[in-house]
Amino acid sequence: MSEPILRVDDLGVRSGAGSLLRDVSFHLAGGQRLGLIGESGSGKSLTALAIMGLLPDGLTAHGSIRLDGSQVVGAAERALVGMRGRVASVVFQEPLTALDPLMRLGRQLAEPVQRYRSLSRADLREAVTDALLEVGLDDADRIARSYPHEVSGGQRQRVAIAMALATRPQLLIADEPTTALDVTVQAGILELLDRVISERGMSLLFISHDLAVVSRVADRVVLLRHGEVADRGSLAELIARPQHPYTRELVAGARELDGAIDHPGGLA
Amino acid sequence: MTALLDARGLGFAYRGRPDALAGVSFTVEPGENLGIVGESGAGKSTLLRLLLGLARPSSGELLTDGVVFDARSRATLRAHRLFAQAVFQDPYSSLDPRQSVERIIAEPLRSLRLERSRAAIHTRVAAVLESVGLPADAAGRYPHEFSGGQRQRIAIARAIVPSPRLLLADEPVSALDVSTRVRIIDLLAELGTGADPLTVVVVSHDIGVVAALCTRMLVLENGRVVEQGRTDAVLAAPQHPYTQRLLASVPRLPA
Repeated sequence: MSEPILRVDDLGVRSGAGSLLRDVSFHLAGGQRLGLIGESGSGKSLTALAIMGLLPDGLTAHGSIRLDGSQVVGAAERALVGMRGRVASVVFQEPLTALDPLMRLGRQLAEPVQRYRSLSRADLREAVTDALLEVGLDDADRIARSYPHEVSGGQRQRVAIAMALATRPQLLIADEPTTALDVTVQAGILELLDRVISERGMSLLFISHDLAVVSRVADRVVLLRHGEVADRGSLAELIARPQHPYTRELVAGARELDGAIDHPGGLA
Repeated sequence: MTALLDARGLGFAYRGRPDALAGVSFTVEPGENLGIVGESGAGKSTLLRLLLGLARPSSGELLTDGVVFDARSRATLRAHRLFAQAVFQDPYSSLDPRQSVERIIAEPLRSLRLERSRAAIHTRVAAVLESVGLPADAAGRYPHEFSGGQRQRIAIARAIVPSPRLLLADEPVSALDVSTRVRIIDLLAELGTGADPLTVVVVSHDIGVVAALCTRMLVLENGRVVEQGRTDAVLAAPQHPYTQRLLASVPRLPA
C-alpha cells in the first residue's frame, strides 16, 4: 500500500499544563473519506488546526502528523506554507472567515488559482469562471463581480470551497462546512463535496458533530470525546452495531429524531 | 373551547423593506403544540416577536385567549407575560452569569409581583427545579457551573415558574449536542402532560424536533404560510413543493 496522504500518530495538543487532545491516531489514503465526529469540546477542530499547522498561540502539538510524507509537528512555517494548498486545503464552518469583505469574489478566487499556475489575464479570468462553475455557481460572472455580502450564505460557502480546491490539493479538510447553513442549502453543499471529491479522486477529512451529515459523505469515522478517540470504524458498521456506550448514545439520539419524522407525535 | 392563539392575517414589514410576514393565519388550541418550521429569512423570528408582543403587526390581528392582543397597553403586556413565556436558543447568553440560579428563576415571580415572601419564592423555585429535572441544590449555584443542557433546563424553569399557559420556544435545542437534545425535547413534551398542562409553540429549522414535539405544524417560506396541518399528515404527504424539498433535505442515518 502506498504512503497515506495523511498519517496522524499519537497526536496530542497541550495548552500550558493542560492537555486538550491525547493519543489521536488515524490514516487517510488517497481517495479515502474519513469523518471526524465529536460534540462541542471534543477536540475535533483542534485536530484540523493541528494538521494544517494553524494552532493558535499558546497551544502546542506533539506526536506526529505526516501530510504526504512530510512532518507537520514542529515544522517551520516556511515548510508548512508549501504544504497548505498543495497537499491539503481547509473549508471552515463560516465562509466569511475565509473571505475578505472588501474584495470582489472573483479577485479573491484568482489569488489561489494564480499561485500554482502562471496564467495570462485572459486565461486567469477563464480559470476563475471554470472554478466557480465547478462548484455549481452557474451565474459565475455575476458571482465573480460580487462582494461577499452580496451573495447568499450557501453561495459564499461554494466560493470558499472553490478557493480551497483552486490549488489542486490532494486532501480537503472540511470543518463543519454546513453547520451554519439552512437544511436545503446544506443538502446542496454535501452533494457538491461528494461530487468534486469523486471527480478529482481526492481524499476528504470531514469534521462534524452530526452523524447523519457525515453519513452522506464519509465511509469511515473516528469518534472523539473529551480529547480522545472514543470509537472508530466503518460508518455502516458503527451505526448498525454500535458497541461503545457513547456511540450507542449518539446513534440512538439521531435515530430518535429520524424516527419522529416517520412517526410524529413523540419520541420512540 | 377558545383558542390560546388566533392569528388572523398577520403581516409585518421592517421599515423600507419588503414584507417579512404576510397573511399569516393559524390557531393554537390548548394542549396542541404547534411547530413553526422555516429556514433563515422565512419570518420565524419576526412571527415570534409578534407573539411575544415585542413588535406589533402592521396588518391583521392576534387574539390571545379570545381577546385582541394590543401590545401598546402596559396592562395587556403584563397580562401577556403571565400568559406566555419564552425560551431561546442560546442558554449561554440568556442567563445572567452573576446571578444565582434561584435569583434567575425567581425573576418573573418578582417582576410580575406574583410572590413577595422569600419563603414562598423559595418553595416555588424548588418545585420548578424538580419539574425540570435539576437537583434542589442547583438553586444556590451559578450558570457557569452547568452544562449546556442543564442551562437550558434553568431557562425552561424560569419560563414556567409563573405558570404560563403558553411556552414560546425559539430553536430550543439547536445549540445543544445531539444526546442532550433528545432529553430537552422529552422535558418539553412532559410539560404538556401534567395537571396544569402547558402548550408549546416551537420555532425551529429542525423538522425532527417539531415532529417529536408538535401535533400541528406550519411551514413558512418568505413570510408566507405555504402549508399547515396535523404534523403526521404534513410529514406523510407534504403538499407544497417547498415542504417536499425541506423534508427531502433532512440528513438522516442510513437504515
